[in-house]
Amino acid sequence: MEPADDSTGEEIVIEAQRPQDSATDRALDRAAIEALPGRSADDMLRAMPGLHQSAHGGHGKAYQYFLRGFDAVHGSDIAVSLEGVPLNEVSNVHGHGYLDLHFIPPAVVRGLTLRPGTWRADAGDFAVAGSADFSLGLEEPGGQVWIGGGTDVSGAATLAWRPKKSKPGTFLVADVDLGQGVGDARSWRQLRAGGGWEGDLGGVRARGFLLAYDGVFESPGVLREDDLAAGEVEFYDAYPAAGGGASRRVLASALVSGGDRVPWRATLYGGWRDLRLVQNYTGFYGDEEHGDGSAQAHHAALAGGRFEAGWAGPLGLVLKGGLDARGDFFRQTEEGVLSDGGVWETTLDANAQQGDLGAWIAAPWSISPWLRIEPGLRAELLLVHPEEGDPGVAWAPVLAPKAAVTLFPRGPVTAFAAYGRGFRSPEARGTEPGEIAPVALSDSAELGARAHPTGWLEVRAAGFATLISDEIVFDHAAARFLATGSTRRVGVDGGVTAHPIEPLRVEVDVTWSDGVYVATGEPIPYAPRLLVVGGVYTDDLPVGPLHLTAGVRAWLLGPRPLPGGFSSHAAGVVDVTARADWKRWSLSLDLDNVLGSQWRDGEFVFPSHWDLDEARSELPVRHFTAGAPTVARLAIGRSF
Amino acid sequence: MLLTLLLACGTTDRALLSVPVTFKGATADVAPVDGVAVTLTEASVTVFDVRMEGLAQTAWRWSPIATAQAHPGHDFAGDVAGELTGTWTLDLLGGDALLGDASCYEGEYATGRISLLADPVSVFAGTATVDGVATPFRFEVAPDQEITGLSFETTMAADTPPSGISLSVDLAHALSFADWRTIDADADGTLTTADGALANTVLFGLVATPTWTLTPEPS
Repeated sequence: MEPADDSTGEEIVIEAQRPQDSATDRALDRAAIEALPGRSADDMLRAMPGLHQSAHGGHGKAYQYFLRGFDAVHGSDIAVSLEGVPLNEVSNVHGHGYLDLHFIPPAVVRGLTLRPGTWRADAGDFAVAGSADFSLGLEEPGGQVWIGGGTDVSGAATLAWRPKKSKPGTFLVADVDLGQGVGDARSWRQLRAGGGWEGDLGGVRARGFLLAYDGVFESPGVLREDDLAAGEVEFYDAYPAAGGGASRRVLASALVSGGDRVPWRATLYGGWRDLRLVQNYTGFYGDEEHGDGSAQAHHAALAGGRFEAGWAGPLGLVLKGGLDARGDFFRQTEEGVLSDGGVWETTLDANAQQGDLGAWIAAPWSISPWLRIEPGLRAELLLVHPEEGDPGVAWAPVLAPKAAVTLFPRGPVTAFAAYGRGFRSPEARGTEPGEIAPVALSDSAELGARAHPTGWLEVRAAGFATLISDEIVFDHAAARFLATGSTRRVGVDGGVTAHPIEPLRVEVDVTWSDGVYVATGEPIPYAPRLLVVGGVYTDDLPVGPLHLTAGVRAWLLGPRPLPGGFSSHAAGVVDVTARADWKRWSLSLDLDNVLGSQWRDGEFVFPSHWDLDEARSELPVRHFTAGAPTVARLAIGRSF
Repeated sequence: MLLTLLLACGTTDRALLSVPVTFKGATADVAPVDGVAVTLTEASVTVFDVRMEGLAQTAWRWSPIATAQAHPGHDFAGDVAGELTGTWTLDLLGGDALLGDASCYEGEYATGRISLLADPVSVFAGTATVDGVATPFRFEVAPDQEITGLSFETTMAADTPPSGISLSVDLAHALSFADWRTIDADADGTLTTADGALANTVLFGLVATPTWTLTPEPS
């Protein structure tokens, strides 16, 4: 599954002496991605062991991520990048680290690296529970066009083109995806366009991309469980004026790389962002006159750069290092809105800037054929200018040691041990000028092994533990940081990958985790405890004149702890994808939730008040967001 | 087998118990302060909603309302776990009165709260005997206040639910802040809230937390 990367030679040189990172890292090439059910960039992330996603905000809002005992909310604890460009939005008005991947055209995702844990020195802000990196490109030269539709009253079309004799990073892409959805308030419309270029510039390799995205969507919000039980709502209904949003993004990057003995890579990137979300989760609970609806807007610009270099020294020693610099400039507002969309109050209107300067060094050293160590260190200076008109800056230094040991890196059984400190930058809204800003720090350790008892079988297992001495949480109501006490998470990732018959691949991942507040022993709410993901995939199976790429993936999620002693329902979903290629023609079929289960994507316990004719109750009750229904989507493609 | 495993560690729901709430009538004769004996002939208060709150499990709360829109439900216990909604104009001297059945989640409780409404006004009338001299009084006050922090330390279990919850009022405490030696300024022969500072002190006593008690009755 390692990407056959002929375009990123500099990475291969730097990474050449890294046979295997950990027991749970995973890399997907385009063929493996094609075999995954689902087509969005978020769907691809589901291949990360231990990761669960919730799409409670509709088809357009950032997903909610859960990994290794963390409720990473909308991205606060998982760092995701695109060709090395960080995608988490610092201090986004809806959630710190907001990770909206809808702007990535799925057709040009060429590879994906998934890294649970946080021991790599190049992992920076938000890499608290894990990290991932997408790469862009088209494997084959030429063009391809796809058009299709689904039973959820949806349609999609994609045009992607790579010029002949060009490298994979040279492409143009445009796609449109729109639909009504199953149930109330679930429509969406997404437009994406972009291009990339890869080639040589005066003796250095160069690569760049520009992506643009425009999306609007409805969000069904939550339903009360007691309303469902009473027959007052149906499973896929929505309360009036539940919510929705509009999201726009432009992101561009230019990368140059070179060097033989000392390979290096430099990246410059910049982007623009515009997000508006409208939501009401509680009806008229807080305000019987106006309702609790709110609109959040975030307008941001991003600029940054990265430089990395490596040097292969004697005796198997490699020195690697890098510099990161990033600046975010944003204006954000939060308003109370009526059910007709009218604004009745403004609760936030702020301009702020944040900076991130980081430097890291790592020294992977193959001391002997059976022992490899990699000490590392990352230093970060986080800067926040939280208030317009006040020259004061809040700042925070972070020193993050990292270390990894690999035993028998090329043996049939490889053992790993790793430690790393992760961090999450402060959020501007809760920061005061002139003070040392609070930073969430995590210390994680991992022990694991991969075994290949036969040529077609891999068995892997890893135990992990994360300690956070003082969990820093941003309280949106009070607009300040709260120290919530020490937490610890322990767990196990286990998995099997088998290739009984090429190109058939059978894969099972099981993750169990337990996260609690140390002082009280209370479970960390929402984080999954048990996640089982299994799949059967074939990447390119000749069947007569056809070539078949298909995948069946099932996941089972155990009950999650909810606040106040409740727990969620268990859920299980089976998704299927199949694609047949014949000469220049292709036909693909995606089936979501083939078992037709009515599963609850998100479950929450809190009070709400939707019917003004009823007495206002403060009693917390279950609410849920409906999981994806059964949908079939068919598309036909033609290459040229 | 995995499905069995998942189902075995199934959903946890806190049972919702139905617990009757009774107002315990007060006695008419009280001694709010030394040397003062009060005999009430009329005492009424309008009470609105009775709520019981659980233990706070962590040091923080994440408000689920209005401004905390990103992630509903990040509120922790310490919030309401039991309640009886409604409005009752209580005759405090009229003996016990059933207010209704509260819905209470099983689990631990720490505090309770009630609200007093201004309309209809609260009335206290009767005779105060101060240093052997009897003086009629009639106080009408309009509280509009939530009374929080009532001690309600108990554990409700589904298999041994409490037989009830009683709400009671300490009229001696409620009237203990009044200066019963206040001069009848308007010389109408009756002390009223127009005399001296009685409007404030009677109201203060009525909304004081120790005036009210919320008590779980054993099962």
